[in-house]
Amino acid sequence: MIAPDSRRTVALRGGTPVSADRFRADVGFTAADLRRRGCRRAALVEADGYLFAVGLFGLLAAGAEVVLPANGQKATLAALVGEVDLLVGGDGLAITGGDGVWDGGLDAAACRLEFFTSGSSGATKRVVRTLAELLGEVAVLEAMWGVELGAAPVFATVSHQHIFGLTFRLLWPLVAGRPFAAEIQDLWEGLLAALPDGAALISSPAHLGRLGGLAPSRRMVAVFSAGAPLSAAAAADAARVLGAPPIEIYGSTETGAIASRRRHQDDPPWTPLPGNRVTIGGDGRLRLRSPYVGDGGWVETQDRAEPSGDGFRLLGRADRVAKIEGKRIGLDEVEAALAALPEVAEAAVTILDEGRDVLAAVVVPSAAGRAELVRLGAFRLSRRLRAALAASQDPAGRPRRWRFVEAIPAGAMGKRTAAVLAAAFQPTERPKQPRVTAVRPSAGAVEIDLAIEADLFWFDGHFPGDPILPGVVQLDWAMAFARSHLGLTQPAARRFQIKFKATIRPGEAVTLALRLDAVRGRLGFDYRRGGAVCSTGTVTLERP
Amino acid sequence: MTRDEIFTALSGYLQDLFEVPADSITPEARLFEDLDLDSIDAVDLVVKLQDLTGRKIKPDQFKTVRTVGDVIDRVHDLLAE
Repeated sequence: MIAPDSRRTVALRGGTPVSADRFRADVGFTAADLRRRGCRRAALVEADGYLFAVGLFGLLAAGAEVVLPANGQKATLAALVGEVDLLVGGDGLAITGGDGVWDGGLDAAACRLEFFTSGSSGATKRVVRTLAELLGEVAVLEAMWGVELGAAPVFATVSHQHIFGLTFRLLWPLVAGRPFAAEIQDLWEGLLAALPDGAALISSPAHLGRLGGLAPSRRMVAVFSAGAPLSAAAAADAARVLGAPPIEIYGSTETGAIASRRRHQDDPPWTPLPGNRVTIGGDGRLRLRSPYVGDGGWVETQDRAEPSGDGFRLLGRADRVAKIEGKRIGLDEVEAALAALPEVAEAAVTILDEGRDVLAAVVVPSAAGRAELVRLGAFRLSRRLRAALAASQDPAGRPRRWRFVEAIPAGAMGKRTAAVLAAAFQPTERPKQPRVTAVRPSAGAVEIDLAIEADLFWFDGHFPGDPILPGVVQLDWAMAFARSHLGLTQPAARRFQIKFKATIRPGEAVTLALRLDAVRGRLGFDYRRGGAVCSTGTVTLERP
Repeated sequence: MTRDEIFTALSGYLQDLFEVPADSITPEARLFEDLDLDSIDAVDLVVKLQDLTGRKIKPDQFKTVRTVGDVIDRVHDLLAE
């Protein structure tokens, strides 16, 4: 499956080309090593795309099943203990080169890859695909966009642990002979520095939705996006900053890519990829028949759709219909109604479990909405919006709980899940301690630089509209730091003097100096800001 | 249950259920005009008050309620019945 031209570049690692010869040698060595260890089934987690590819084909060439966890987090991997022989990736993937070069051949239909995917409910599910299915899809992608891409190197912001990343950023370039960048760039600063003009970019709304402030900087030959629908603003930003209107891919782990559309200013319908046939079932759900999915029979998706032109429009997830107070509520319709209000830039609604199902909205206010939020406060604005929703929604379809946020919280690849949205409604723990930025100890004394965070618990109501750090808190912190840094054992100050010369306000940086005077039985402290004293005090220590 | 106890419970509901700021909850505060509750909030509040009193509340018993103080009176009467 790796083209015969052995000098060809398969990957770029830190900008340095890796040849096909080198790749085959690395795969051959890895496969031999895995065979020696008797590995039949392994979990593969590796952030570097090149090493991941070596691990993947090493495992497949060794005849092992490959499990692809969604990430390398401890809890994710712990859940796989006992069901895999080996964890491949990270430091365990040592490549030293050697004999046993891989000939590039595989029985693709027998190669099993197991993915983990999360539905919009947030529960994870396993999906098994064969390499043959993925390569069948790759052939279609190459027929669609191969000429457009030419010899473009392929860069990505999405992980190959998921099917879209694996297919688009790794398998497709490998098979088609385009080099892929091994590193996944998570931040635009890093990516734009590494990204040459004329590259192809594999991305998602999680990244393309954050291009807003950037100047036009690169001309990509193509930008692909999948994982969630791209907003009109993100599509326009991508075209402006990256020089190519994004091509959106609609699909799922179970099916791979189903359809595509090129986003200019408008919101075009989706066109199925060649070879894919779609219909809409009686329940409104999109059904797919693809030569590269399962046995080629009809597969039901979780998405509601309606026919449009030669393709279809998506109407939202089928599981995004909730039953509230006995009424069926389309969560996507409520979102659309909210987004149509002038105070709302973007909205997401979800169901919270509060003993009964409660409809809840997370709203990004528009500029007008932001002004109203300042003027009215969150509660009154939420009631205004709820009143405005009465025009289109039954009482059951008007959210009970509201949160106003800077951006809609999303998980990997910009996917909104119920769990991620519900977290926005958890009460957040406000800090009660300052953040320590530096500690300078000396004999019997210590200086501690403190950042006074604006969301500190103690600013609440002290005073409304004019927050200052209370004196009793300053005293308490001085005692707490004297205990932790100077070995003081006394729990609280009972006899003390304190003088205030200047107030300490949210967001300021101050230095707390503590001096223990054992002879006189005193703790001296002062808070300074840029050398000027804010407060100074002494605590008379009690004899134990 | 004393009026004070009812006020404390009601104030808790208004803060927890509807995110009404504590300092705006006074006996004189008007539910709709001052606290910005709407008819949906009123239905939710009646459900909570049923839990509190253990009595079924008929919607017309709350029709004339305007202020936080009215709610306290009505709940107090209900418990005295």
